[in-house]
Amino acid sequence: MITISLNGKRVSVSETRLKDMMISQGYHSSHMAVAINGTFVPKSAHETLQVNDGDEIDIVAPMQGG
Amino acid sequence: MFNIGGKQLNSRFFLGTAGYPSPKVLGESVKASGAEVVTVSLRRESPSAAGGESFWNLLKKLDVNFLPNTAGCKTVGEVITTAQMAREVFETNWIKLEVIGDDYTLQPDIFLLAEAAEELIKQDFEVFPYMTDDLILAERLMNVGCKILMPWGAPIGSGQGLNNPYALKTMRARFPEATIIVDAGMGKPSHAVQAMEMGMDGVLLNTAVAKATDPIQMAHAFGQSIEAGREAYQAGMMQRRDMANPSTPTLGTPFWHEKNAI
Repeated sequence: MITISLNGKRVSVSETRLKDMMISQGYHSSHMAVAINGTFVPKSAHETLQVNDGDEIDIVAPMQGG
Repeated sequence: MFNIGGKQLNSRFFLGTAGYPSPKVLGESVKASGAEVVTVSLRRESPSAAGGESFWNLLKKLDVNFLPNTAGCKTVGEVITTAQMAREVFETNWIKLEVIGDDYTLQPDIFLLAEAAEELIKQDFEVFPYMTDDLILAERLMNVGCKILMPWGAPIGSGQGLNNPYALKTMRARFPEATIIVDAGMGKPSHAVQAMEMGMDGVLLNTAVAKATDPIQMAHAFGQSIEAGREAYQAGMMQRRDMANPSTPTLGTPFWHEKNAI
């Protein structure tokens, strides 16, 4: 198990591949983008990128804006 | 037709999507406005709410261009990451660059703005910078490659209209080659007319429509005002005079007779 910060909340996860972690946490939509420790992670890297203990992960989706 | 950021548009109205009473009213307002570009944003997604998915589905039905913003960003790093995420989600290289420097007025940090604009342009973004009406900032942004300038009319959401018409007129005169969109602070359609009569290329607003009693009708009103202001600018307006000048010809006015005519 590793502990990460996911959208500002600490969670413990067993999956270390980014895509697997997202699915296990309920993120199924294709209209989302990810940043890890403030750096954008393109969708093409979701399948292979490893999540590390202590990572700060942001998952964002379209929202109304001005 | 109106060319901006590599696209041909008919409408010069850029409409925000936040703060409407319901998604249905938002959709109807966009249609009523005639706008072909809507501003959007990115926020942390909650899997249980799935708000992003439903908003995305609404956006796709509107059949408009998306202008994602970097609202809430306070550093260049946050801006760049947000822009990169927006490019992937919304499938556009357009980005409305916002770097807020003051939480009370939402005045942009003009120093970080120029720095972020330069980096975004290096990364092939089409930058729409939300900025103050400062001329030197405008020049700096143009120098780093911005083709579009978006000076504020007044603080975001204030509805005050054009607080400094002189500065905006000067910017228009000094940068005739720039595409200038007045962004933020509009309260009513007459404010938009005023901006367009100055020769601005477009108007971007959100709150004045979203918070109207009838947003759909107000969206239509703003759409018409922006067209009217543009037409007036193109038609060329008369010069203002201090004194009256009769519009009815004076030649042939009855009841006037030369003294001793008889």
